[in-house]
Amino acid sequence: MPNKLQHLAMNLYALTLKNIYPLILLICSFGIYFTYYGTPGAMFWDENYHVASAQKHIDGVMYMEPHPPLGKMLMGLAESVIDPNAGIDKQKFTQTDHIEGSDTPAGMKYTGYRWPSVVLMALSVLFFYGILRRITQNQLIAFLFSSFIIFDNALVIQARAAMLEGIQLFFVLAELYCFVSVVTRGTPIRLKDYALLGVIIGLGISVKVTSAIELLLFVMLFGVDQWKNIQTFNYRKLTKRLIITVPTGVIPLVLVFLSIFYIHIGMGTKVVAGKTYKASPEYLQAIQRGDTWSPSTFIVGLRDNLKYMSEYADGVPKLDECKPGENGSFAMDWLLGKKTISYRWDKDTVNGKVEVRYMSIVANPVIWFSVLAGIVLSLGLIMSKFIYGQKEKDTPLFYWICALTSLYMFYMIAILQIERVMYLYHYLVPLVFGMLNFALIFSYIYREDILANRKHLWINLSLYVALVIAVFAFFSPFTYGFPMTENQFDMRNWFSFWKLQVVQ
Amino acid sequence: MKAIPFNKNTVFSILLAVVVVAIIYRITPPYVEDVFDVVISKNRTTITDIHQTRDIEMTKVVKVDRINLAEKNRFRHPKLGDIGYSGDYFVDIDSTFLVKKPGAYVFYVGSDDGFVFSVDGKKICEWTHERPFTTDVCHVNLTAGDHSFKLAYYQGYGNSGLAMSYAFAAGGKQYLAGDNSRYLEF
Repeated sequence: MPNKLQHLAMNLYALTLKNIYPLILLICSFGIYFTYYGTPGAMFWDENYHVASAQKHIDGVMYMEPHPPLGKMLMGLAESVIDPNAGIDKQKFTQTDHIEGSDTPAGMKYTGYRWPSVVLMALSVLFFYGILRRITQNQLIAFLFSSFIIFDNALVIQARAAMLEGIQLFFVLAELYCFVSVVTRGTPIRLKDYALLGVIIGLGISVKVTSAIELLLFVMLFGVDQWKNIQTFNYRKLTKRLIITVPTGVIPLVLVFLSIFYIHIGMGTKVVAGKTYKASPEYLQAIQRGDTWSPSTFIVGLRDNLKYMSEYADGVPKLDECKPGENGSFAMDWLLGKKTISYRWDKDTVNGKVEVRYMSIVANPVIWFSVLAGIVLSLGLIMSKFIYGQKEKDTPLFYWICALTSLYMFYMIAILQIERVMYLYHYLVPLVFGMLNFALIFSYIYREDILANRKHLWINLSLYVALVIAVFAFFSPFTYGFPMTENQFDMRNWFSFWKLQVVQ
Repeated sequence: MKAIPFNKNTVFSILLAVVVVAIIYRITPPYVEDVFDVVISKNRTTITDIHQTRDIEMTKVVKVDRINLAEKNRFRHPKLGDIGYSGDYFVDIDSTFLVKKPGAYVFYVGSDDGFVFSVDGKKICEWTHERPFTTDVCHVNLTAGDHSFKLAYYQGYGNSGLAMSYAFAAGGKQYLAGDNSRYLEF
């Protein structure tokens, strides 16, 4: 018996040691994302919309929204399971699409609605670490660069809220991990790999349609799968494989998307406060009949929901930089963290000193500027091969850099085609691509030093990560709403183009 | 002596050092010599006259080296930046100074909007209501030894600024209030 116990303890110790890096990351991630995520005890920015929608799921109220419903469904589910507001009347939430302060009952807590975003984002660090470990084959590099996703102020404030980005990024990283895992495992790519990728991309798109950028992963997967046939221009085999793989990937994706909408439409069993959105008479009649789960209702309901989404997007105003208080910003400005958004602030006077609790989306400039530098360096590297004919020093790593840079560039190009006003947090998806890319381009540049295990490199990298964490801590009052005086605010107002607004 | 190798790691170290130094420089609060306590009081109501009854909402004290608070049409210190509020506030500066050479002095008080300037409790000059930045010339005879002055100022709406300098006798060399000379010491 003691031998068995000893053996078990040894195994546990070995397992812990093997997974020590992801374990540390997970603890840090939960420490940063999960701690006191119920604060502020009031809604900010899009929470006013999403909480209203999530509550409609709980109460079975029909609604339509510009974003697909999965994110709000998860928020509603978490609120129902955790139930931090037992006994509180939230009926008013179902009568509006934007909850005003006057509609909020006293004692309301947001730990339920925020839970999916907080927990999924905290877990995302495992995907981030896994992606880097699989590509670089170096645990320490993966570990150190995973600090990016934990210690970025913009990611943290956005994910510690009942908003969609935390949930979206979980699926975006899951898709990427799935792709990297399939490509790096060293066995032939199977049809079920396409199907699995389709399922996860479907889930991502069901949260926010901007996740559709990862459709590019299908193209990349096909490219890896058929690399030999592409090189030999074997069109016959390529076409044959294409005919099979496209439906294998796309059908699960579409099925997931439709299933989410099926549940959404099925759950909307009543119309409240005369809010019928773009529901057609047939759809409204079906709701009145209590026939929301039937296939015929699903067809009309889906059509009406998609119509609402499309028309809503058309109705959103364009960016107007001259408008006082404009929160939107031009996509190319996001690279440097312009412009910040003040989500909410609370002013207080303590011992005659004015202190303000800001909740603002602010970049961790060390991370954001590194990401930009990484993209510039990657583009230079790619050009050096394809334009100047330079030979790459690590072919697999080079192509991974191409993949991540492409995802970043295509997202930005796609966003630049959108006319409606966009906000800084729309940059979070490419930012994550850029973070991964920076780790890869760093590994590429310092390849020899990493292989030679040079002490100077590890000291440098450790100091760099320490700087990332220190700068995160420095800007954390904006992220967690810690009180600041005007002088403390000024100390953090590093760049005028960030357009941080002091409250006096 | 062993030479430091210049390679990619050295470049990385230098870059890190530059970034750290830049950050430390940026976050170190600007320091100026503590000569005057500038008391800035935000008024709850609109201010149209320097003598109107004050209804103070909040007050802060900023220590400055010179009374040269008129930059870019704002109530702004060259190093400390904007130190006022967005509008409707009073500023009070009470200080002592030493007259080394007795005689006729000229104080130049520039303000946008109104001000009152008193020496040893006696009002020397004032502008009570709003105006664009304009400099008033205030004459006073001072004996050798310690004296005190009080400068009250208000900002209503729009541009702002306050500056004060002095000279020994009309036409003499002008010094900013806060700069010691062979005539005055603050």
